[in-house]
Amino acid sequence: MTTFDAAQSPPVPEPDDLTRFYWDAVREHRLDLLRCGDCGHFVHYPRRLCDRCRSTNLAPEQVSGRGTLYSYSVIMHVSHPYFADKIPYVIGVIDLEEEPGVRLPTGIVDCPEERLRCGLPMEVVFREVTPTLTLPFFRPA
Amino acid sequence: MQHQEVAAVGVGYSTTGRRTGLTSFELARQATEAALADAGMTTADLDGITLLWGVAGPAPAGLDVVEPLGFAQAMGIEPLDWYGTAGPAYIGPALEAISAIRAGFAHTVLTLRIINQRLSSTAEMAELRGREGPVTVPGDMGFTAPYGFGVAGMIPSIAAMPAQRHMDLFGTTEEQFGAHVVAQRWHASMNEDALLREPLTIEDYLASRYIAKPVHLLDCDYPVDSASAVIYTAGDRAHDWSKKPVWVEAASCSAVGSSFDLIDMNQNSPFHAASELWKRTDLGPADVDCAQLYDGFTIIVFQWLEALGFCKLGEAGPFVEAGNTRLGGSLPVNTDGGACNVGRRHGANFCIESVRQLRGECGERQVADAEVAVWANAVGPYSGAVLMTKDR
Repeated sequence: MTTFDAAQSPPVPEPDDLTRFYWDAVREHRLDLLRCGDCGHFVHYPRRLCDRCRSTNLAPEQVSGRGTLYSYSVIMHVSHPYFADKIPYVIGVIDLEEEPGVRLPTGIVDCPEERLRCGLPMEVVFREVTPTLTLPFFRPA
Repeated sequence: MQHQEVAAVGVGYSTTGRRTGLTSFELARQATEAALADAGMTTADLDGITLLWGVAGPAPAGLDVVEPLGFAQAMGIEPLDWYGTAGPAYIGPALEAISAIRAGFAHTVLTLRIINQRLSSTAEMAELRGREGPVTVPGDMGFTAPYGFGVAGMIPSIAAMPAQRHMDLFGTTEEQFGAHVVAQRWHASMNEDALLREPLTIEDYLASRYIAKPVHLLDCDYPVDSASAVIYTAGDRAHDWSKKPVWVEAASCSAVGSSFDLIDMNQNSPFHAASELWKRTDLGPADVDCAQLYDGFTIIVFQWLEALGFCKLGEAGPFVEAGNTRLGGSLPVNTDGGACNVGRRHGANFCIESVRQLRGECGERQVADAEVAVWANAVGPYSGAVLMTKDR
């Protein structure tokens, strides 16, 4: 049995019927979110119903990848072997330009710590984290 | 008019400590015996029980879980004022017992919160060795875990980002968070049940290592094995026991949204729970003599101070820094030292300290003439609060 070195990969998402569209799009460097075809509300995390109007008429739609930084944290503690040589790293939540209030958790890159500030305009950037894992990150726009 | 339908009449703790080696059953047994002895009861006097044990984790992939908070959020039912058995931490069992007694299902109910460190997330790292591939994460956590959000549970989402946003929006400082940490350690120094009792200075606080900025190690509650028990009884039996009853004046819980990552990080369920609490009593924030506010992380204490109306939104920092929350101040907070110092009890210690303060049992840390106490538990998507009064 080959053992896997946990330092080689962060925890990876396990796509299911509800989330596969998101990860498929990310692999193609596109940010798609579920949108309600009846009331126009973006639904994230992915759900079967629109949490505004209960419609099941939801379909993926590409979004601009722009937004503002809702909040953030500079992580100083290693929670998994993959991050041992990556601290300090920054995580955050993005308020989407298309519908502020709909938010996306993410990693923050290309931003010096002193520039981090709630409200900072941000844009998406895709990174191949491992040969089999692409993730959307955000950087200052 | 004072509400006298339900009273807390017995409180107790198990042996508490780091890696005690005790089973969950033994922890629960010890806490129950302590609460029974405190009340002067036997088990024949009890006719109900409600408890919470264990630590929730993500559901296995493909399992179509339906749970009240997630289902309600998906259906757009919010805010919630009630969500059945899914109550978080200790407030869940407490509210179940209070409601069962009010409804007449039971007259005397044992409530327990049992925490066993072996179930905590810190054990997970050891299991990562020897797998054949990367750890896979199902469901919503697939959107956060790959970025390294999973620090010691969910510190970035529960505490660090709310604290950072509080700082950026309201000008709150780390020194203000530290003022709370220093004050409640001072309270702990007067509590024989506290595990950490050495006084701290603000310099000690600022020098303690960061976990996820701006959260320092000293902002985090202290993980322990513990069980906590409280016995509630109906009004007509409240004076049958060893000690004076402490009355449940009002109680509330609230749920808004289902994810710590995506909700409003500064104004969430405590604000709704608090507004409901004050509707259910003639008392108000100015009547409260001490507040026992959940301190899983320091920012949560600040959120409850603001939610309960002890200060305005965004003003908890100056309120704490001015000394209001120290023993002798206008609103002593966490007079037992909080879970950072008495150990993680998921809110039960705040109920127990409220009972002890209103009985006048607290010795050196007793709040003078304490007649009204509020305790609060949890934060974010779900939380609750209970207002208690002294027997008159």
